[in-house]
Amino acid sequence: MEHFDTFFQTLRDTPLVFLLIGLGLLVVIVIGLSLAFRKPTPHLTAFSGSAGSVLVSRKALQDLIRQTCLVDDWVEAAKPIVKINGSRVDTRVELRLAAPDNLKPTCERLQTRITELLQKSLNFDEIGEIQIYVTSFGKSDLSETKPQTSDLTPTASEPEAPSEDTAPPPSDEDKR
Amino acid sequence: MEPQESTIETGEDQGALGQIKVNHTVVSTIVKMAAISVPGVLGIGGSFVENFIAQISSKESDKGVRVSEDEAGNYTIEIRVVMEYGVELAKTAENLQMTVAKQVTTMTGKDVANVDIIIEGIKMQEDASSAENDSVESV
Repeated sequence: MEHFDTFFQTLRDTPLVFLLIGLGLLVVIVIGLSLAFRKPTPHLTAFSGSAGSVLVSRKALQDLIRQTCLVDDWVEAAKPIVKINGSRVDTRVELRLAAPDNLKPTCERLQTRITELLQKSLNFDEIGEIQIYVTSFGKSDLSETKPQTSDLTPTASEPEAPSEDTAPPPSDEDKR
Repeated sequence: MEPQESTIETGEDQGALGQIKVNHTVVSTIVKMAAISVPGVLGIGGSFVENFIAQISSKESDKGVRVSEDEAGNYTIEIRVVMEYGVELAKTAENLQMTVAKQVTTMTGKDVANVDIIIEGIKMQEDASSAENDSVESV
């Protein structure tokens, strides 16, 4: 107990400036250690040859899938989530479509496009599930809506802006 | 891969007139310039943390490129790139490997053992200018 008393006494006698400096140093050390020992970002090996290997980050895959979805005239917004399990890529895409028309064909078309893209462009062999979730229609916010089911087949929640049913698909400029 | 130390001189070439040494930072600059010249490559850049560390450690030119040497003294290069949407990524990456290896060998006279490519992002061509504002740095 004597040691603790001495320690607290020393702490009381120490000027505030030194305490703040010590605290600052502690924060810097903690941040440095967390950066040094942080988990590396997952990468997927596209191919490996004598010249070296080519890896793709999860962010790049998500960018690629999002852009692929946005190329489709019926897609207003896309939020892909890619999970890398070993050498397998599992994809889940939340979509906001321009209108409820062509829901199923659009989802199937996107699944096919994403599969082709991963196979042809990146030579991926193990493509896992590609889950398509249609979360809303029209101009409603994608992040505010939750997917209704967790089925593998394309699904859709209730349309939130049915008044735009007959609206033509947006142009590419509108999406950007 | 060993961490890059830009202050260590590499690429020694003992000739009659004296030594020629090439710094890793110079090799890294050659790599960047070669990479940017490849069609389909929009920029070079690492993660936010790496770019931050590179900035505070005055190794700004090393952002997104790591150069080290293997046991035989050949260069081992790692590049983090952002590619253009629509290009065939595998082919572009292969082209990038060959271009970088050829350029480094031509300019330094040393062989390149490996060129590892990490595709960090995909962007549209129009977004290339905005990409410079975030974590990506073009040469």
